[in-house]
Amino acid sequence: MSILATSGRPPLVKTESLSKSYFLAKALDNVNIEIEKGIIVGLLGPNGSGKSTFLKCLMGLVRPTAGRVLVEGREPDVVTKAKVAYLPEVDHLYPWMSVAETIKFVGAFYRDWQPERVQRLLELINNVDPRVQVGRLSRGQRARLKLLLAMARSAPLVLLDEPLSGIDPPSRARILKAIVSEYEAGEQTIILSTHEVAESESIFDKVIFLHKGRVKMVADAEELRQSRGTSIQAMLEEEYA
Amino acid sequence: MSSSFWRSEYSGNVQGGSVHCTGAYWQLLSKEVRSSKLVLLLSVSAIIALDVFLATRTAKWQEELVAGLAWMPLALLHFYALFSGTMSFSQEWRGNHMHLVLSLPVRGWQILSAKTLSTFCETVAITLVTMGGASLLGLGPVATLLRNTGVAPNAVPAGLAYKLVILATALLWFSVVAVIIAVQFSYIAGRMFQRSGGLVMVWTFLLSLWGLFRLMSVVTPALRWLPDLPFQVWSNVNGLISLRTVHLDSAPFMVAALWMLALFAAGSWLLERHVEV
Repeated sequence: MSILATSGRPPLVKTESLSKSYFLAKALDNVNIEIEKGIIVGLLGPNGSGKSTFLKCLMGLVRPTAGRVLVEGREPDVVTKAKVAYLPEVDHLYPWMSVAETIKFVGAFYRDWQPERVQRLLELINNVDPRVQVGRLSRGQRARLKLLLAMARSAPLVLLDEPLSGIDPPSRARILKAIVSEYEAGEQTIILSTHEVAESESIFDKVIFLHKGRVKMVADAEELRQSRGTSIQAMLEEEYA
Repeated sequence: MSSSFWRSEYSGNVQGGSVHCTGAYWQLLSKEVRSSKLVLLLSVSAIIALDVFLATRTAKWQEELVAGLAWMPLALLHFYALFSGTMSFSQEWRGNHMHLVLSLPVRGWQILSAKTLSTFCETVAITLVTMGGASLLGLGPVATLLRNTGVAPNAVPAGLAYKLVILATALLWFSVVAVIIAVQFSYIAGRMFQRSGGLVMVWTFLLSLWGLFRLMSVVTPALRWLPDLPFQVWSNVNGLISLRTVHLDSAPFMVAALWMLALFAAGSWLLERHVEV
């Protein structure tokens, strides 16, 4: 099965019969997707549908059991890691580092790091003393700091794994606003997995529905809304009911 | 928060070329050193506390006992390397920090060498603190012991004593590096298995040490052509002290170094290409 999400341009991301198993449990099962450059893709599905595993495969943090993943034509390695910005679902920052140290630490590794973007994105975590340790930040502040670290780069591919999870509604709105404002339209590709579809669906160009590790649907977000006459949130609830 | 603060933070952070690479590696190394500073601080404090305690016992206990206890932390150095080498990885996994470390565009050897160097620096610090304390407490009694047992009835020349201490320290640190590399490789190997990873780690560690000794016995004869390492010792023949040159076979050390290099390369490769989070 081959599902294309392209419009004739060479794909930035391509998976060929991608499967990933953990013992007997299949996290991904024969996923064939092509994602073009310069769009925002919503990666949707219930818990356990394989969203995080899919993003980890693109980042090179997990290896396919079968099939392969290509990012800019290469299997994930140290070269592609320099071109991918990744925000994991888990709290991955060092709690003993200060906010300033964390930003300096991550920024030291990337040539596409944009200090001026950092300045702008700092509004996300305003009223926080840069000398405060990450471990002392609230969950929402840590989530926004994680987003800052991902969006402060002009990476061709940005992977955001549940950036809105567990965040209060005002913070969610600010996070989405920051994503849209820093997104380099036409140049960057963002793949955003989320449960908070109602708030985020307006920014998606395309959506991928995953279910039990399989691709259930790949569609243009606007066309899907028009053809079904309903929101993606409603469709999601209907599909996974 | 003031924007000037942030500007000053980033003023020297424009990446490019080797400056970028050096900065990145320095960040990795600095992170490792800082993440383990608490354990190091506690260890050093414990050694100093031991020395202070022993200083109060010099008049009450046998001076050889005090001297021996002052040097005791060095006997535990390999266990410290084992502990610290394991912790440097386990903390990363427990705290989900491996998501960050493995998503960075750095080679496995860079991550591993930063951890190795950091743990090695800790053991160097512990060695120096132990030696410092023991020198204050225990050098006199050690000399007395050597005299009384007839090993060195007269004073050993200072220059020779320093050389012997340096040689002994170098051998100690060499073996410590071997333990660090073996435990790091074992931890990474254990992480390759979703179940029984701890058991795999323990067995890998034991097998890597067993492999080292087996390799030393098998390969050493083939490396006999390597030049020996000369060093001077004193000998006591019928109470007559003289210096003589002893030649240390360098082949086993070369085998051990190659074995460490192979384990380090394998660990780096596994970390970069196969470990999952």
